[in-house]
Amino acid sequence: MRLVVGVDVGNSTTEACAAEVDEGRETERLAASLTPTTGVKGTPANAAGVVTAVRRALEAAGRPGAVVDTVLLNEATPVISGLAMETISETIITESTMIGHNPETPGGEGLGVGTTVALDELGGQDGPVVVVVGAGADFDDVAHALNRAVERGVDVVAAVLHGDDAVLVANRLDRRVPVVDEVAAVDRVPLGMLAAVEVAPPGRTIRTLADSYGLASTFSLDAEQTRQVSPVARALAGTRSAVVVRTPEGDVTDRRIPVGTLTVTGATRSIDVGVDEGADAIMAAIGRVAPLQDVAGEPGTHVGGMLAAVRDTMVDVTGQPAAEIRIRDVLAVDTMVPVTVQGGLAGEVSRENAVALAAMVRTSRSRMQAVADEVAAALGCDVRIGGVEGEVAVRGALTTPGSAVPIAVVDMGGGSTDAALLDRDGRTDAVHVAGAGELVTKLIDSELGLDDREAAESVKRHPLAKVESFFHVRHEDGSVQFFAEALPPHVFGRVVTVTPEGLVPVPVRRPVEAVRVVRREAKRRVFVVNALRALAQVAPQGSLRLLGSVVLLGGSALDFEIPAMVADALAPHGVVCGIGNVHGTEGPRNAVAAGLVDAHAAALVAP
Amino acid sequence: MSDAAEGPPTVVVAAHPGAPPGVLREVRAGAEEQGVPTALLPDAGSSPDAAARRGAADSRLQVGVGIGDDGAVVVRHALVPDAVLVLGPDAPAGEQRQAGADAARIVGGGALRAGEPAAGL
Repeated sequence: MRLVVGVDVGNSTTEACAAEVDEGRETERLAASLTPTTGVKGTPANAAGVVTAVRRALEAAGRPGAVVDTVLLNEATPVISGLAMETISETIITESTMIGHNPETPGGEGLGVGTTVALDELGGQDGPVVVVVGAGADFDDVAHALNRAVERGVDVVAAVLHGDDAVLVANRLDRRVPVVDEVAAVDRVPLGMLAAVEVAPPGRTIRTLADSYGLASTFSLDAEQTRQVSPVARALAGTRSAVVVRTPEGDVTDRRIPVGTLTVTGATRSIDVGVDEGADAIMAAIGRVAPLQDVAGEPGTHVGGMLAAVRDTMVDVTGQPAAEIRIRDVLAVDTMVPVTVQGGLAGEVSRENAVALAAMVRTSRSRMQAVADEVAAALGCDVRIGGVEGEVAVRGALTTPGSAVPIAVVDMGGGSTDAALLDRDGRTDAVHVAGAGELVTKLIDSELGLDDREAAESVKRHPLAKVESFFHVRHEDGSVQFFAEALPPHVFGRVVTVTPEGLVPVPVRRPVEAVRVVRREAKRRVFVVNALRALAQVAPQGSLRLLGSVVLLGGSALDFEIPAMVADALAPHGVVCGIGNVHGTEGPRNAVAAGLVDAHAAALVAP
Repeated sequence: MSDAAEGPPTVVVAAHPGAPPGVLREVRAGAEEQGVPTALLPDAGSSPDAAARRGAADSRLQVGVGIGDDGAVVVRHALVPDAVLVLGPDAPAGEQRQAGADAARIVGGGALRAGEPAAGL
């Protein structure tokens, strides 16, 4: 009996499978292990992770320190991926024309139209006034001053406050008027100008100021002026309260931001495409030049920097000259990101268009022999390199009960999505496409405005729930779970991820449903799109219908929803798709490591 | 029996007779800004935690706020063994307002904001 350990060095994880093999006898798999990959896959830095994986597999097998006969390594080739995101639209408010935000508690209800007046200037005005109250004012004093002014005959029709006092002030007014609060830069509200303040009833959104003709009626605008203010109406749609000030040059503009071009090069031609044209235009350009040979970004732009960084990292890793490094795939995804509006007075946030890009470069120059030498020295055993990843993975996947040739595998990793096909003639074909788990995390992070990678990762990996009381949560599927012990105050009332370690608050003020949509859309736009894209490249004649069966491998195949999303997308093509279960016991992990052991055992039987 | 047993349901604020009026005002204003009424429960002079416990037990909304003679503030829910929120005697007015608002948010099931910057304060 010989103790052998198959090791699969992946982009994110290194997996090992320990087994005892003997000529002419069945292989006995002992245990598997998993550890983070050290360094870039396919580089000498992997050795430490390989040694750890082997030792952990032996420990798991109950044989720590056992003498290993042979370690089997896959022929891992470096894959470097990079991500960049460009915001390609922006909203700018000039001359403090508009306050359109959703303070938690505006006061009063209705629409008030009048001239803006500072609180301490109140008295003797003709016509309706909108009172502007600066920082530090006490709610009792403000209400008293407004009531006195009304008694003196001033027509107070609305108020705009700095502090979070709108309900307190409105509750103390003799005449009920709309009050908007939490306007951080209230000192920049232009005075002496015609303004309109609108507060909708609870659960409603404003109607007049969020409508172009509502604004026209309010400010007596002609057709041309109405056309000019229509962006204001659009910007205010969906808010519960708003202030619009009519100033001579005031405006709200939506602007497209030029963010540079991508030059995509195919076998016969190159095309320049502006990143601000969006993901569809970029992917269409890549399709027109197919097969893609290289991609370059305009120097001085984020995208240019990202592509250069990917190239530079590969130069460092492989020692190849930069001129020989080619970006072999790009995935562009349209997204929306919350951005603070320029010129806003209340920290208004607008959802702007953005494009996220994942790029990938792969080289055939593997340095696995250096890894093998280091591992051999560390463990004192024979180390063999064998088996191209795609081939070994597909053979490992074929041990999944119910699978048959032709068989395709999709391995959804961190930086790239890989697909391989084993056809009836025994030929294998493999591709790597850009974009996987890291891009999903980035999309979730930016679309929810988290600016917290760990929180985004948690949203990606775990189902959501809302903590509705100290003793129960409502899961995203609507089911309710009761807790015998009180939940901690820091999760009360919050959207949380349900993790094995407990409930973790997600720092958002959006409902569970909205966060769920962001999470599932990010997964669909990366994993589903890429699974179909990669499979189409290995499928006979590019037809998914000819694939037969598709086995999902890798960590993402353990995700609670990705396998079903991919299977749903493949179902119309008549493809049987499911989660790999290597040797009927190992699940979607360990396909390559177990495949290496099987190939080695087979070679021993038939030398 | 406090006025919490009559009229609309309220968050019950139990304040020590010597509690600083400014603290009481900020706490009640915080709850009012959230749209939740408060009722005052005369307190015999117990600790703010014991006062909060009494307030929560007396509140039909099961939420009580205790204020000590030194201005310390405790927010409690009748069914939760530990205090939900505790403020020291020297907490800024904004945090006292926030404590009242958080007591109201417990009623509405809203996320508590203690520890976050108070808007406009």
